[in-house]
Amino acid sequence: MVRKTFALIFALVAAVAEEYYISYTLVSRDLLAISDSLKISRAMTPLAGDAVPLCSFETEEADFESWAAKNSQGLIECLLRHSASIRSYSRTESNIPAKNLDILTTTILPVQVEFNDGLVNIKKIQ
Amino acid sequence: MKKWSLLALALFSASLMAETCPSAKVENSQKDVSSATNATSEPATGRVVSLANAQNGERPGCNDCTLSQNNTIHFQVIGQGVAPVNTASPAQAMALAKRAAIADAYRQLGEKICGVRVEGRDLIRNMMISRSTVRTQIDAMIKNARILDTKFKDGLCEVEMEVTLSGKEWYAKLSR
Repeated sequence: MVRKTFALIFALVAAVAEEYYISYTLVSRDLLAISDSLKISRAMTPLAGDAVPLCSFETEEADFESWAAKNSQGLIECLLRHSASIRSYSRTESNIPAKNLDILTTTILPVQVEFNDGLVNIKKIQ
Repeated sequence: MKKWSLLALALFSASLMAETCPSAKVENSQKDVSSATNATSEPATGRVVSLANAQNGERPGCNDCTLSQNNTIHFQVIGQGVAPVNTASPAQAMALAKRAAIADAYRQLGEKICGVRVEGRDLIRNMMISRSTVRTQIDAMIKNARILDTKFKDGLCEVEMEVTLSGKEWYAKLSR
């Protein structure tokens, strides 16, 4: 009976969990961030695969989009910890640094987001 | 005959230079700090240390700075970012400075782990160098890097970041 109840609770939580695609790009020139964009898109079809915990945060928000708007820094650090691709170009003319451009991007990450008791759990789908 | 041997030598050196991801040899730059820190280690000393030896309380020699199949090395860098002037609030400026610092830290990690492609051009006119240009390029993917500390001072943000590289997992891939 207890097992069935737990199974039902887990099934309900899984049904409530929302799925998103998240990506982040940052362009920095001469140590100055000139552009950054965090893109969040709700998955249009259910994502297949195992959910692996990525990070969790305390929150009082009710939905992921409003939480992400207020806590973008935490979300970005969570994404970057998972993986980040860096491309950097710099030029030196006559021994004087002329220009430096860094482009930091995360791969488009499919995630599952759950809200439980004031805690947002972000899980990577792989 | 001499021409052919010179051409072969030039081709060989060009192929050596075209290697994108050289072996995981780590060198220090003046700007950043790369050091070993296990849980109880002393502050940054400006080099990379093999954790296998550091755990035994030994101070490793320079040969241990290179990744091998049996050791684990620790890269630690300090990225710097500048707060932009035209922002809506000081908080936004600080957040942007931190992001720029994170990008700089990732660049330094990429530089150390995967290497730098360097291209130099000198323009010589009337037996004199009239323009000298050096271009560098880094292209790397980094996973599981951790932010250790963040400091703000006088509009400059410094982010201390580290990544651990296990020889068992990465030696074969990086030494190709």
